[in-house]
Amino acid sequence: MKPDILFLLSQSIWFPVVVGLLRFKLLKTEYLLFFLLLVAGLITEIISFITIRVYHSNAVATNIFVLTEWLLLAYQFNQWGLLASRKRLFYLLLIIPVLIWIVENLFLGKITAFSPYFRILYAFLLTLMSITEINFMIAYDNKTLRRNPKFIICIGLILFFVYQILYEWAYQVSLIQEPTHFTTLISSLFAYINALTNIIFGIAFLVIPGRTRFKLE
Amino acid sequence: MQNQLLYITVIFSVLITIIIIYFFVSIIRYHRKYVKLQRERILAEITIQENERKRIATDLHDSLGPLLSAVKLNINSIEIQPQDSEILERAGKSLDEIIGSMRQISYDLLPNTLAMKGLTEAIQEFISHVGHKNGINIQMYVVKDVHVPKEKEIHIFRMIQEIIHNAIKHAKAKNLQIGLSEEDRSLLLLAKDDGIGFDVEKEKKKSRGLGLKSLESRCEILNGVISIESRPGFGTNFFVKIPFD
Repeated sequence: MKPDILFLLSQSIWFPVVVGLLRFKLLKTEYLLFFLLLVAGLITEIISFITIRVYHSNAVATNIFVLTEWLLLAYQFNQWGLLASRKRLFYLLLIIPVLIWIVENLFLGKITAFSPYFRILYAFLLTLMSITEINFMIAYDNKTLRRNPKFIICIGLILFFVYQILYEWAYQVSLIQEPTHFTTLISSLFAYINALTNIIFGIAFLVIPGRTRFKLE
Repeated sequence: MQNQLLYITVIFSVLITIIIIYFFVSIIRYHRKYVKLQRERILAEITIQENERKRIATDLHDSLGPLLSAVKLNINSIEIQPQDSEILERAGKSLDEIIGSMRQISYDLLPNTLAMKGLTEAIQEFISHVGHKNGINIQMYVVKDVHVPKEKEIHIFRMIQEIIHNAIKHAKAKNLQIGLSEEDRSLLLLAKDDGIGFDVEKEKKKSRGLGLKSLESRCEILNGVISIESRPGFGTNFFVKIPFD
């Protein structure tokens, strides 16, 4: 894939960030952590752009970003009510991937390469969390789901992280043998999936309902 | 190399499979919770309704009733002129009708017998009440004494009331048999009428079938099961099983 197209697709992150900034007052109570994640994503994209040009790799920036992504999203789910009453389980679930990240990136010294175990595990856990949240909303939420920002965000997350698992498979396979047409296709489509999820997140911020004003006259 | 490839593919396939299985398990879990929540909501609504009925029935019986009786007593104690006697007689009759209607309303809202003598007596009283008035022959058999928990009595009574109303109003039945029994800490209720019958599925789909819906709702909150068998021209059978625990 041409680097220009890749660059353009990666810039789709601006869409949810700009929408988020415009609607910041509305999203700051329930979606602040998610918004911070998007801002972190934007910063990582900029750093990646520079480091690829200078060092021909964005592994360090990406490895730090995935850890931030895990922490922010896990806390965001917790804030939305997931495992809110089972704090111990939540912290246990939170800490295991962090330990794996530390071992993989600091002890095994792979911070300059892409860390597969952590990336697979956190993508897997976040998919399960998104599924739980979606099913909870299906069962309990009386509002229309297609206009529910949480529902839209979770759909985006499932799409992104399930594809990330598939991408990791393609990446690991291509490390063992010569990349096939199939594995190359999976890898190259990742940028499009990333752009699509950014659009979904932007839409989610757009459908956050405005404040209801009550007036006593 | 091939083995390594196979392992990686198997591991990733397992992960994807877990995600899919988790999706279904989670949706089933939440569906169960949702059903439980719905049941609690229905129970709360029906309980509020029953409490309100009880309050109105008590108010009618204890406040309005004695007041009307006192008015009648006062009227009767008036020294009357011969020309006013007809008017007072008519007023007295009207008062008797009002007292009678009020007692009927109070009874329909909540029969005293249910609280004082229990479910079987209350049903029998209700049967003799409606049977005479509507020209239907209702027979009740208590195969084995039933010991229904107090909090469930009112719901079972309302269900039987609904079945009887259905036989009179919609089925236009001449005969209705009601059987009660207890088996394995559960109440068994069988009702059979010789009315015009109806298409059960069709009636359930119609929003008009409020009576049937009410029967099903009450049965659901009591964790019971209800089966309705009917065909146009062949009467209707109701089978109800309600656990006591």
